[in-house]
Amino acid sequence: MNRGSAYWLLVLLCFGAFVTAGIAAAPDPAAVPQRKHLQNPQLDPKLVQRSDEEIRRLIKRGDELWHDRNLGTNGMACNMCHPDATVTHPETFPKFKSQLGRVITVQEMVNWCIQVPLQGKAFPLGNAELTALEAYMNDQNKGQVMEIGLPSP
Amino acid sequence: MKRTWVPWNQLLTESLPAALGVSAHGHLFDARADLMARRVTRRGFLKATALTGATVVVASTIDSVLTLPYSQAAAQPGTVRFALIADSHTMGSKNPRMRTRLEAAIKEVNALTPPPDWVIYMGDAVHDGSVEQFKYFEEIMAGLKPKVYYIPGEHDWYLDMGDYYQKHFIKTGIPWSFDDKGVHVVGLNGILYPDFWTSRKLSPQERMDIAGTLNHPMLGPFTLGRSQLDWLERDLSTYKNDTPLIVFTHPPLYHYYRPWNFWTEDADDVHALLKRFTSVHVLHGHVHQTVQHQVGRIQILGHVSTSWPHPYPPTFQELKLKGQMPRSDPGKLFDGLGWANYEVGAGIKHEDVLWTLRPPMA
Repeated sequence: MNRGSAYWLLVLLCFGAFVTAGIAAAPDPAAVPQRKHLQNPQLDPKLVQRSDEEIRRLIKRGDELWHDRNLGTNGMACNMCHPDATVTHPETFPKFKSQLGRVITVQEMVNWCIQVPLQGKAFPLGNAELTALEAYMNDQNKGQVMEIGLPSP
Repeated sequence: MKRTWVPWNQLLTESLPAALGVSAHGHLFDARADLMARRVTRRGFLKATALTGATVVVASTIDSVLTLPYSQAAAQPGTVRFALIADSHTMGSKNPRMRTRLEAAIKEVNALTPPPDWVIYMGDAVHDGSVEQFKYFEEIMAGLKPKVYYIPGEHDWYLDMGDYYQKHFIKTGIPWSFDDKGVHVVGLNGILYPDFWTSRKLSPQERMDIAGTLNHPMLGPFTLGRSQLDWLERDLSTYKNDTPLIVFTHPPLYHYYRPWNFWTEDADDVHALLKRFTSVHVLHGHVHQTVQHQVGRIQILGHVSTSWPHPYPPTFQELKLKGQMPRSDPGKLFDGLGWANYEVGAGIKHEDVLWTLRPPMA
């Protein structure tokens, strides 16, 4: 092989490696969350940071409340029946709950749990505590498929 | 097409108008449930033959229960009958529901005909390990007629490192064993955590609060430990392979779900000691649910509590475990709760008395 052929072979190999690397680096379409309403991902970095800080703070507060045995009056905490917020299924709300006999939001369901199993006092809907509990519950249930109305006891 | 399975009894209740309140049979805020209270029951009879260890689970209907109620089945000579109560988590007078539920189990056990030879209490008698809570629990348990053997749960242990529970309930020290009509019975201390408190200089109350939080990230795995394994090896050494063996321990004696300590770290070492026996059943609490596992010939059975049900963790399916109970309604005082009844002789008969489908009489 003369020097010219070796040069072109090297160029070809480099190009091949580049193409291969390019294919490997291409995002797997199945791994990208499929959202119905695709939006421009570019956002103000300050907004991104603020959003992140606010939701992390709220999830942390929700975690504390989830384990708080003084949320009600009988020593029970959400975490006892729902460790790691399992079987809360926030992704299925609003839905019909037989305990209240109508379609309710997830915050109304949390309030029912505070009132009945925990024998405590309900929070006003949308208040800081209920929203924190909802944030923790949703964070623990990330990745669940939205299934509004799925029946449960 | 998406299909959703709805039990017929749920269809029945939900087709009725709401009737909120406390029913005569103890349902909270949903008197409609009374209408289905005794239409069905769950009687899972588990028959394990001593020769093969093969297990047959038969989910029978109310008809077969009526023709063969467990409590009236003819007692075979040489048969040990015992009832199992687990995880009452009594919290003193601030939580009278825990008392009502434990009292309901006691009432049903006392009503068994013929009466059980003894009762095994599976631990987590109280929630916070305080003397006040233990005395409250003691007062309730005084109503139970048969003799009671106790093993500890983590809630009974980590305030005073088991001092009160050992003195007042276990009494003989733990682990323990005894023989009854040819059946060898062993009680283990399954709730020993690696020391998370000394280096952190935690107070007893802080230690209890952490130990009593099912999913606390500070908690290491439950481990029986070398000395208990050595004790078990010595204890079993004189028994022949065909001796029916029953082992009680609070958490599952296998690796079920580590984040909630549904787990015994050195379970494999125990299995190695148990595997030569042709009929060996390990019964546990802690999980607040019916669950069934098999390791070789070793049958491992989890039980419901009298306090609250726990969810099934994701590994229930991954490990192909069996015995999942119906989902419970937190609006009903007794849903997802109950106790169990055993008869051990040439084989073993097991009944989960699950109040979801057959609430106790108030």
